[in-house]
Amino acid sequence: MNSFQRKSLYAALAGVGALGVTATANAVAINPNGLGQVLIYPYYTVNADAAGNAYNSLLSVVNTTSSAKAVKVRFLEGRNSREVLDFNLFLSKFDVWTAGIIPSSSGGALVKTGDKSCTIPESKTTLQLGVNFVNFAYVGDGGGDGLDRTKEGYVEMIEMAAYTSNNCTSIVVTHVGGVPGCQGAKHPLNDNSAQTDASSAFGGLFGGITLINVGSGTDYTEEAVALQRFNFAGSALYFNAGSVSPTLEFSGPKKSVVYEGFSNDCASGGTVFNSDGTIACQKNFSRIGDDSVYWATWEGPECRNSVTGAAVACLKADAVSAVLMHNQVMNEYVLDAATKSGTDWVITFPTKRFYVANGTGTPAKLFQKNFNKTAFSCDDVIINIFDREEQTVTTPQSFSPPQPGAAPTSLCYEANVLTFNNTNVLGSKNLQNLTTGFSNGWLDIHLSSGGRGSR
Amino acid sequence: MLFLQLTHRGAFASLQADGRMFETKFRAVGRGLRGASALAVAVGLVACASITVDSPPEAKQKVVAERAQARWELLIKGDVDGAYQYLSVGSKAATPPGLYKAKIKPGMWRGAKVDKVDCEAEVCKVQMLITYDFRAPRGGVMKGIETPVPETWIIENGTVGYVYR
Repeated sequence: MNSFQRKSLYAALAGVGALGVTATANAVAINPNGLGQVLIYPYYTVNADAAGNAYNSLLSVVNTTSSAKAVKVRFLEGRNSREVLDFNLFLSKFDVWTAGIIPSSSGGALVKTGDKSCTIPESKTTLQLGVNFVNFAYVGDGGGDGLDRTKEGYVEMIEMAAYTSNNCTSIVVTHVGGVPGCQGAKHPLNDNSAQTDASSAFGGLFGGITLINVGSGTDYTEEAVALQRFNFAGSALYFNAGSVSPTLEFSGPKKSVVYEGFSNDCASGGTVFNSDGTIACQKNFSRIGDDSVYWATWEGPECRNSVTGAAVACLKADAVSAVLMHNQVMNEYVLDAATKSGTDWVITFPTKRFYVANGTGTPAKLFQKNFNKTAFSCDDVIINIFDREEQTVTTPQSFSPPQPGAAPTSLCYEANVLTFNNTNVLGSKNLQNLTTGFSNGWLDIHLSSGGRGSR
Repeated sequence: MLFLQLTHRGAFASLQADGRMFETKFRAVGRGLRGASALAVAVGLVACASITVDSPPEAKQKVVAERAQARWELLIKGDVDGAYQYLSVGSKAATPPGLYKAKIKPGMWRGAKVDKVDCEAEVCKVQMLITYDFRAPRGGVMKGIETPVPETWIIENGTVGYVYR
């Protein structure tokens, strides 16, 4: 999984690295070193594998700066990206916070920590005992109301504020003898003080998540994708605990820096997406330095159709979508029978929920179908599968089983698991299977179809 | 994912090589213990000999719980070879020792206890509670995480074997 993430983002990372010497843009971008203001952990699971061994997902976040931080920690289920839990976490300078997502007797998942870092609600009476994920946000969306939906998904952490070393919030969240004084009698931590003391967020977080199969002692590690300069609007982004804000819609200013790739530049019909949801070089883009790095604006008069010049709606999540999206995913698979090898890929669309509504019909841009109950929200893809000796099978090659009423080759969820020959390493329920006669090789998925080029 | 699988295969290869090396060492050191080991095996067979599909549920549960606990004690010690002996006949046929060793990675487990055992006919479902520590690759150490681990055991040949898939 991690290798997939790393490969799929490789081009973008390289581009941002090149940008670093040419621009100081207040525009959201992928940070090549994994340091940022927003961390997206692509996948968590507590599902059981074929042997019945349930996974645990252990995550960590590190504050590499000398300022305390307030971070919104959000867990989202993978089918329709509905939130299953969030809280406010306070990291003191150079602090690390860790937590585990484990199976719950509720039938879903819960998050539990042994970490002493301050949270709102207070950790000692909540997270240190374990807090069950909840289904409030997805009951009635038609995708299933059960808590089992909370057993897989992904995690966002959004830095909301930083704290200078001499204010009350910074002092109470700082560890003394290994323990912070979160609820000390003199200055107990609360939303009001955290709001009052807050300064602008500026990044410097990194993290990762490890999927542990406890029964076998094996684990798979993912690094969190980091967004730098997510919000440089000049003030803190602090929201009280209990608020579902901020989200990935809160980037500001609405600008992004995108690296397009060396071999597929804009002049030849590039891969960046436009404000109207099509693919091409667009008027809201300008090039920086060379032909491969693009600065894009997602608000105001620059939101317009590249051909007609007519104004089109830019959506709040566009700036973040622009830096995350790809039109193609390539990676290897191993299905070697002698070693009982299996392969799963995870493909997560962290901003899909801002484009896809519940019900029938077509979203305004990027994705092909709204989330229509058990038909879910399926997007066509084109796949080419190769073995290691250059033999290949090209579409029509189908995932199975196909979603009812959907194109047979499609990705239907927000956090998708693509398995090969039903090996289902992760035991996912948000699953598409690809059957192949090849034992080992590589696969190329094109997301460009149905007039929607990249996702 | 792929790199992880490749890592698995790499580890498998090196484990096989190491295994040969260790096997020699064990043989040299193990002669003095051979008598005790043989005795333990004999006792084990006697203890399990009475377990059949028709045994009372309590008897099945007791034996399964003991063997499930014993298997985990070996894993916690890092004795994968020893744990392999607890596999069912079918599991051993499908998974040779070298492959099993490549798939099982000891080191994180700290404790194990049997939570519950339910037997029906020849199949027993066990829920273990496993406590483990984990060091995050780029972050801190998480200690004492307890999580349920379900297992399936099967009664066969007068004993019970762990079903490994």
